Amino acid sequence: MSDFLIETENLTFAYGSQPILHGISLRVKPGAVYGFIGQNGAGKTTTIKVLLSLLPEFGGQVRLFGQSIRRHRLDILARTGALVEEPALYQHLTGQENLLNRALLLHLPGQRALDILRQVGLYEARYKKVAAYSQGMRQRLGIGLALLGAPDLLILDEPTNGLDPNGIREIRELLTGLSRLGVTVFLSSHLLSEVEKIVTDLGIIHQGRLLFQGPIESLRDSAREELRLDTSDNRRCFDLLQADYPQVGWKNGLPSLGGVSREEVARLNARLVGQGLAVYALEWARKDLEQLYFDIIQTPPPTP
Amino acid sequence: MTHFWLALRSEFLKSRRTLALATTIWLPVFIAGLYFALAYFKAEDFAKTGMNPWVLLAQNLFGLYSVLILPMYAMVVAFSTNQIEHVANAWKNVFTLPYPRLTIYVAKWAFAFLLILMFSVLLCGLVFFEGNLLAVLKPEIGFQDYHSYDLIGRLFFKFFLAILGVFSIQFLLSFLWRDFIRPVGTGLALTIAGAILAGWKFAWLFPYSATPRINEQFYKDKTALWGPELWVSLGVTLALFGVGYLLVLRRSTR
Repeated sequence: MSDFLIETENLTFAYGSQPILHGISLRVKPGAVYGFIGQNGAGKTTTIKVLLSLLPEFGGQVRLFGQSIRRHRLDILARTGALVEEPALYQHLTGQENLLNRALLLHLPGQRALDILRQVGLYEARYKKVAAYSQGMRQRLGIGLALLGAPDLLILDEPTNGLDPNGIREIRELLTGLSRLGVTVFLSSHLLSEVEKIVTDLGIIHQGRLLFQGPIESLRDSAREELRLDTSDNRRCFDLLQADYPQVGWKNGLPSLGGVSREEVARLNARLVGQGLAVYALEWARKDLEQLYFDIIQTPPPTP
Repeated sequence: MTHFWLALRSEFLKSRRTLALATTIWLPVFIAGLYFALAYFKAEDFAKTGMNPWVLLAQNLFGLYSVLILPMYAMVVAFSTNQIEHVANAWKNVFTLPYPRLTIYVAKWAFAFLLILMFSVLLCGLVFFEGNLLAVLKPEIGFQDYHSYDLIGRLFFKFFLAILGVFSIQFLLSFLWRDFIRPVGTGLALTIAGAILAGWKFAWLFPYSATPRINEQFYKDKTALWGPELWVSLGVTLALFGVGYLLVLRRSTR
């Protein structure tokens, strides 16, 4: 029996002659909140579709709950709730009718649909047609549909899409609460910052390859410290440093450099003062996870 | 089997406020209402012919019913039942349910099939009701002097069987194509072709000619029970049902 709730081995997938996934080996522990991070087009949704048996013709092995998705599709899906891409909702039905329809298919009492409406904050809007729902309401209803069957595993593809900051916070709280109840959550996002507060584990996918996988703490540990300097003339300070420290860069308008020891900092300070610069601050700053993520996928972060 | 019944009930629930369900209920009422008004206000013309008024009513109705109303209705049902999933982009959602794909497909097909059956039964029932009402309100027409339930009932049944071939083709087209123009446009072109070619000696092989041919037979031989076009219609239905299932089974949900 595997120790992992989701386990893929050398997963490959191609649309026709175009390869999309190149040997993905996912390991998701039971009870984890696993963030699956990657840019648009990295292969996140394709991976999720393979996990849910929506793309049956893949290479490699896929096991959920220790069972092969090829041979035990129904058993696996019976324990899994999913939201893939945008929520698939029947526009001509009300929010309540959408949930009642799903409850009927899952052989659940109608009361369960009402409970879910309360849980995702749509109880007041339950008689409104979905066509009149905002993007955020639809997203919440989509998550509600995924939660309806009280699944052991929740697979959510970009669950915070279209939500305002308050909505994002509510979803975070909801997922954290579910995780406490023992539900394993696998969620994809193209923004690490959106999920880093709730995930326990992380997988970073880029161009169909899994570049990092492990506990988020191990990623945090690898965040190296950087020295930030604030002086009376930061431009001159930058030029002076560049001769000896070619790695110097700018961060939030301040010269910033990594890979220097504490002793070097003292020498550097003396040198800057000697050049007539007033040094206001020398502070250590950790690289944020977003920057680390871009380092891993070796792509410059987008400029704001 | 539980899965099938649940999926079928779900189809009925989803059909609320859809074109398919509205048409199934209101189109027969509208058609029967118009023919009732025609007979009521033209009672003298009806009486003058000296014909069995049930046959006269049926001839009036089935001309349009066989060539236009029934094929168009089958197209609408096939389109609408598939369109629900296309619009909601819900195929992927439906396929993540712990249901065999066959069950989902069969339930959807059975739902559309039942709608056409309901439509046929409802219209047939309304025609019977209309004749009996006219027997009371306009006895001079003479509906009370004849009993043609068997003849009319049999014809409705034959039209129902004959339209299944068209429905199966339209169902498959609407499953494959998300838009309105391609499945319905193709269906309309084939329906026109079916009506034009109905008299051709090989037209019995063309499912879209089946209903106009049955209407023609009604004029020639009112006792005819079965025709080769019904075998073709049922054969096409069976074959396309199988093709549809294979497509559902292999369908990747990108």
